[in-house]
Amino acid sequence: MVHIAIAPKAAEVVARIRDARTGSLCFTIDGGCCEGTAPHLLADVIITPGAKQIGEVAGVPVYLQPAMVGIYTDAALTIDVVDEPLSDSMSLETEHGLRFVLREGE
Amino acid sequence: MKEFGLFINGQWEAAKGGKTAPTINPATEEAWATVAVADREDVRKAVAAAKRAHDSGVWRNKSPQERGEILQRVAAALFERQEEVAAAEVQDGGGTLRKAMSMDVPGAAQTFMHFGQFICGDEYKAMLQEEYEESVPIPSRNLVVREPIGVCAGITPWNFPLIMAAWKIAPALAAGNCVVLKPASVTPVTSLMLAEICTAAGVPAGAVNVISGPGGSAGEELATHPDIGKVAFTGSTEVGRRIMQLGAGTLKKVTLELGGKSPNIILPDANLDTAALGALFGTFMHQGQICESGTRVLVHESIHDVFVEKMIAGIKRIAIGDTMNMMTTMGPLVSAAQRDTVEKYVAVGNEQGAKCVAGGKRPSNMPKGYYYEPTIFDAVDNKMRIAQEEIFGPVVAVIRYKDEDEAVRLANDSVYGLGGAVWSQNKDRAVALARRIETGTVWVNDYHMINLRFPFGGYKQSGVGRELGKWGLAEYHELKHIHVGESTPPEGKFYFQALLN
Repeated sequence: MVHIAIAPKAAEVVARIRDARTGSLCFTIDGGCCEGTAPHLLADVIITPGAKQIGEVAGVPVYLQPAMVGIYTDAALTIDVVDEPLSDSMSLETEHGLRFVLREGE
Repeated sequence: MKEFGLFINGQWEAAKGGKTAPTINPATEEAWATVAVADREDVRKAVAAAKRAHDSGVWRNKSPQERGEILQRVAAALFERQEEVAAAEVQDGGGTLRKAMSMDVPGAAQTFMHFGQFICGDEYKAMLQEEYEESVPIPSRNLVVREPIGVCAGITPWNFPLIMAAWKIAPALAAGNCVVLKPASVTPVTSLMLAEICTAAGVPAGAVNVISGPGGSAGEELATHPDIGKVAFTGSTEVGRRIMQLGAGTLKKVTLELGGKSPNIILPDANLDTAALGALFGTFMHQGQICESGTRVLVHESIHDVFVEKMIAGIKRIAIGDTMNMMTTMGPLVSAAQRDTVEKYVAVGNEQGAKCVAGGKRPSNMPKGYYYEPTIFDAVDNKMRIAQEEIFGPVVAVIRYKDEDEAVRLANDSVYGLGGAVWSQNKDRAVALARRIETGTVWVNDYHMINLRFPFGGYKQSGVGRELGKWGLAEYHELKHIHVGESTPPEGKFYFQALLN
């Protein structure tokens, strides 16, 4: 069982982004490369076949991309946010110098 | 502290919103330069400049010979400024000066040299226009011509900022396109310097624009802007997937070079001394922050113990230290966040039962900087997280296999398919095995040997399309068929009868 939660500060960031734009938001979690395993907050995403919804946080559904489904079979995950003035990825919080991160464990 | 703006239309500009941010030297954890941070409006301005330059014909209408000579001048200028550019690359990204002087600057210069020379030659001429005289279904002359796409966007990662910028800019310009490049926000400086160098070497204003800004805004603007014909991206699979989705709205061409978890297969008849050092080079070069790193070393059980000993012994030849010292061969990771990721995976590897036989901690002699020791995990099962997830740090997983079929099965048991290698003194045997591996590049008795003349890219979730060589250059062209029919009386056009009585 995968349990997903969000830190209060991260939830505020999600709310701020949702108020500022149109489109339906979702988090996707995939692994690797330059970003590490990180949640990406995206608008109007085409969900990958085989992706698995593991819950909803701050009113936003959270999906594991297929490659992560077998990896997080039994985990407690928390989406948090950190300051990162020069952050990349296409995740929407990067515009505000912030970065969502995934914490494992309670 | 050095300051860098945005490079738009041949000149330096401040970001419209006036936003700047410091870039951190990963070896000192201190800011060493400030860069302008572009918002969407800055991106639109850069795209408009590139579109104007393209539409004016100032670049595309030059002959390939003229363009090729200018690109070769860019290469020469990079070599002239090698020390200055190398020092900037080191301070921005945390690589070593040794790597910057021997790989980054020469590699970028050679990319411009390669494409510059190629488009001056006969092979490119033949690529640009093929001609076919046909008699069926009717007599016709057929031209297949290649033309520039228009404005191409490049989005690059932080691991090899200068080389990645060269891989995007040089072929785009060679083919007659104009470019807007967005380097990774943490390592933008050498890409900005490169834009200035291109302009000084004779690339017209607007043909190369470089803007640094967040992926979520500046990157999204590039991936959706209607005037961009192609996006070339290097980075993570998740961002690549997003760029493809965003590009779908305006049907952009995309080439994507994404993540990897590449297999490095050691056959029992390999030269074990070379292969062990090759396994270290394949995983610890640039602290493992390379997409095609051979992070899964598959070792035949008959040589496993002696091979792992040779790998451990070889680590002594890696010198962690001050990045600006030419004797240092390993620097810090790019950021504190990246080191956190590595530490998390090392903990996961230990928890899941892999055996850490080297490293696994921060070096005690480097109190400052995001350093981490080269780390070898033995007794790894390919299903473990450290064998499936891309760590992007100096961590290698050693996995045993019994026979070649098992090696192939393990090698291909990954969502990725970027690089890999086979080590054997029997080259035929190695090539036969290489053919069975589902990746875009397989080296036999080598690693990280990227030859600019040959295609580079990924199978499966490691990418779309190819970069480098004539195959990579082809991706920067539109293909057009011109059918030249005979000017006959109507009866000659027998197929008109399908409509006309």
